Amino acid sequence: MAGIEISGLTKSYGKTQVLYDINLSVKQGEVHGFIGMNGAGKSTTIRILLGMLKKDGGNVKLLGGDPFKNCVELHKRLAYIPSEINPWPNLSGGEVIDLLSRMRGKPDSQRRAELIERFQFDPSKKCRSYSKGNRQKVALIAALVSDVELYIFDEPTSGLDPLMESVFQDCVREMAKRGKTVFLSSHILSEVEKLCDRVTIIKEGRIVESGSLRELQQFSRLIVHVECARPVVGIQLPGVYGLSCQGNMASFSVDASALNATLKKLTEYEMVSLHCAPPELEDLFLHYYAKSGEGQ
Amino acid sequence: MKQNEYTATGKLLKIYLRNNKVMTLLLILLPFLFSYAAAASNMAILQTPDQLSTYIRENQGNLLLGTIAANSIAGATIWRIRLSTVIITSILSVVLIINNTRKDEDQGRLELLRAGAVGTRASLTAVLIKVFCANLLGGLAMALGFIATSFPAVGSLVAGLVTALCGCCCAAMAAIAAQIAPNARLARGLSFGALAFFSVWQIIANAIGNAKLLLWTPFGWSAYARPFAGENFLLFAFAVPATALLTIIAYILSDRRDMGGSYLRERSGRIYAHKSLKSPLALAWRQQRGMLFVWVVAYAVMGLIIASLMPNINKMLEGTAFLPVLSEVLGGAGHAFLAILAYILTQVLTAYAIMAILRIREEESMTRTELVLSSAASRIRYATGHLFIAFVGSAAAIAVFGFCVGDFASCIARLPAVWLIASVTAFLYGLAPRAAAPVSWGLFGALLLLEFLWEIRAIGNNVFALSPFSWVYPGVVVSFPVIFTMLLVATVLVGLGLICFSNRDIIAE
Repeated sequence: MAGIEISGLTKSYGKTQVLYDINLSVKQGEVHGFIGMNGAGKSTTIRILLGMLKKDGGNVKLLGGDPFKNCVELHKRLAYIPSEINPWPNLSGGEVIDLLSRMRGKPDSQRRAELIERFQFDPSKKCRSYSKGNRQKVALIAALVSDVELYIFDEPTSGLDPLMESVFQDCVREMAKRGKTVFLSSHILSEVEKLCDRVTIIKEGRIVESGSLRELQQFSRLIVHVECARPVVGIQLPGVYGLSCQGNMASFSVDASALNATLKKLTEYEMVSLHCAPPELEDLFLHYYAKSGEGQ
Repeated sequence: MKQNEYTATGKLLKIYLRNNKVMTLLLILLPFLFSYAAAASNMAILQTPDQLSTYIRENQGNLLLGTIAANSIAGATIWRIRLSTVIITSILSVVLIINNTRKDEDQGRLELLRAGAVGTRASLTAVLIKVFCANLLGGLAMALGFIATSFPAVGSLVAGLVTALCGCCCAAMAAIAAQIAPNARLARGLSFGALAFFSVWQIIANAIGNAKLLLWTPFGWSAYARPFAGENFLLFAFAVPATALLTIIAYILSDRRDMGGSYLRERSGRIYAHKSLKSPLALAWRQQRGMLFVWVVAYAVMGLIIASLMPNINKMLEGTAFLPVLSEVLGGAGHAFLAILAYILTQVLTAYAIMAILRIREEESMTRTELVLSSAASRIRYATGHLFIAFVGSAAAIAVFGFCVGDFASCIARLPAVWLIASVTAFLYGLAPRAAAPVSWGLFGALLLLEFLWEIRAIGNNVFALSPFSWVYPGVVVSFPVIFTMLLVATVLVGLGLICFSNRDIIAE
């Protein structure tokens, strides 16, 4: 049974179509990154998974069930962190954490205390007086306190400081070790790169790429930074893209098949230093977002 | 570097004028609509001196509205509308003030404005100018409505200005509440509490028959100033300085606090939730119990006051011909008075029920509904939690009132009308959440307008019969088939609303 299995999902709000043909699969025990720009359809997809929105077409399976029809049963097996939370202003943070975990079932008071400690959170304040970061901590703790099969996070660290971000990342790593499935929507790419086994990129309501970071890197160009003894000119060979030369330095990306020829050419300029690496997630992401931009 | 505390007041005023446009317009236009419509209809109805004296005799000694001071159509007209006008203008004034003071501050908008080249007093000054001017324009419009029906100009102007002053005074009090309270909800609560106190004070003053007491409630100022009955200009010598003093207090309180600070402290909450807080119903109860408590207590207090005054009321009304037809039907003027009051409270209670149900919509748009539903609560359980409190809460309020005045059965018999109108809101919430609030309030307003038009005889019985309120109108015997029908329709509407809610998108914005 897959954690999440989506095929051909479409959704529109009135006349605006938001999701065109979403295909996505998350295996159980996998940490899956879901990345895309604002308005790409990340939150809409997640809210369909949570049974908040009705799909227009396609198939969606969540832990083997229908996210809309079986939502109550499924929600006992998952925990969710929204990207933005406006907890009840007259309840304290502690009360919100307890309420949400009790409604989900199986609240764990020891885990609660541990998380409050780790996130350095004061649960006694009324929610209306929490800052944005502290409100987000309410959502984090309320979700992480439950021991469930699947965790769905929608930009979970928005508003958190870097220290708390790393605490959160530790928590996700621990969950991964214990075999939990995590679906992490984010546009903090370094976070996704650090945590996720597989990544899906969504753009304007369509999935543009999906696979492990390794796979994505294999199919893409290498990034090269080179410094030579002489000014670099005339290396615009086939398979070289985005060339920028500045005096003795040059950076470009290159198809793996053209790497050999390019390096041969570069030896003519007496290379002083060479840095050649597969693209980081950020490069990939920008690449995919730029690619279809050209097509338009 | 010297800087001006009022810098950018004009710019803020421009921004504020663009906020809450409908409410601001209502604040200006409703007094005109009320004065012109009531004046025109009274001119049409009370054509002979005989009709006028009968009307005055029948209505004299109304505890809510006080006495008719002037023996003229103008006097009867201002008597009829003075309280309803000031209640509406003061509620609007309070909401407008709080929206641009504490609410803006709560939501961080004020901080954004203050970060610009904006004086420390600019924001408070701008919103006070807006609401004061709207009240003055409303007052002048009210005077215009009277003058247009050829009522004496001086009396018309006094009536309009006093109404405007009452609105300004309530606005200044709301400005004080906005400084004191740590959040908009409490600021509104304190202000409405003051308005409720003024209403009660007004009834007490009318019951005791001491006009001087009317000075201490802005709602009584219109009666105190005696428009069309030898105007008492002394009122202005009291009311203007009083309003100015309250405004100054608001400024002093504002100067002495930090941005975002308040005089009442936000209490800290529980570290662990009480063990009962584990279901959507428990959460709804936590959200709604404050408002419900206020309503039930208000109805209990009203009931106790009325019950204690009942002997006096009976004595007062004995000689007069208070609503002769109704009195005969119900067996006494006292009963007639009670029936009318219970009827009005039923209508007001409808507003509570609508508000309580619309709370779900507020929760949904604040993404809190999503939070509850994502943690294994079913949609039906979630919605019924709030609906349960709205329906049972409204029943509790009217039942408590009925119990206090000893007229339990007839009070409860009117409840289905409240439920029926509230169930329309529940249905709309399920079907079209964005439209739920405007359509519900629009419908409620339309029903009240229908009744107003029927009372001034602009429409006939057959049109008023469309309103559920007409089926429980004082003097009407509410039969079991009618009760049963209303309950049935309400149940169906709530059921349909729940079905729609279970099958639609949760809309957060």
